[in-house]
Amino acid sequence: MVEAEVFKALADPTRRAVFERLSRGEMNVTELKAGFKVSQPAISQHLSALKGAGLVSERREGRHAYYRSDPSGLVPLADWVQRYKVAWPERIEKLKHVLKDMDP
Amino acid sequence: MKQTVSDAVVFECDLPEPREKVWRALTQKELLAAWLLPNDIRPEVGAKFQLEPATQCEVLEAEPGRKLRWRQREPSDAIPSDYRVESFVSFELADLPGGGTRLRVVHDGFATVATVVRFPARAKATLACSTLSGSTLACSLRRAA
Repeated sequence: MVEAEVFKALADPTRRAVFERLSRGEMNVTELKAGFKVSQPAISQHLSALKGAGLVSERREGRHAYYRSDPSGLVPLADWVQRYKVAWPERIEKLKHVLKDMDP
Repeated sequence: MKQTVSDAVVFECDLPEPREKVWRALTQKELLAAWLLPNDIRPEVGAKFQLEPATQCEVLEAEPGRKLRWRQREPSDAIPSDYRVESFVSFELADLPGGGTRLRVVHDGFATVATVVRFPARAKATLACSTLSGSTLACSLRRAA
């Protein structure tokens, strides 16, 4: 399930950092790796997980690959926030009734 | 001015009842159950409670008649069972000029989306808490919308 992949992918701190960095602009793996204390294969593995979750997209140009964050990958998360936007007003209406029925 | 993070869910409403009464509806388990969910809340900082069926909460702030804030971690059908989605809920109460209470409900921390906390089966003590910067998420959510 895509939503599960999104949450799983973002559960790892390094992957979150990769996702954040790629949201600033397109980069290749070498540029991306700068500043990370992990190996290039590890970065590639994180990229692969992020791509699998639909959070990062890849553009190939000859032998080079460029990556950027794909904000539409966060839609499952947005959906989750949306559920609460619907639920709270309903609960608050119930709260109003509870208050009316309470002892002083 | 505090910057508004667009991923926070915020509601305000004016209630005719005084703060003290609203506070009871938020913090007495039978009353809270009547409008939110069955629970075993104790309004004390550090108190852990559950919103049924399976949302684990911890009270972070409890200022009687003024403010209640908790962290909640909940499972979701959409994610693996060893993950929890984390967020924060707060209730702030203020007097209205003509009597009554202004209730402000803020549900946020979606930005620390990460919101995902992993509970490794063998290492309960090492909770990996996640933080995606609020601005990045808010920005990404806007673009995704």
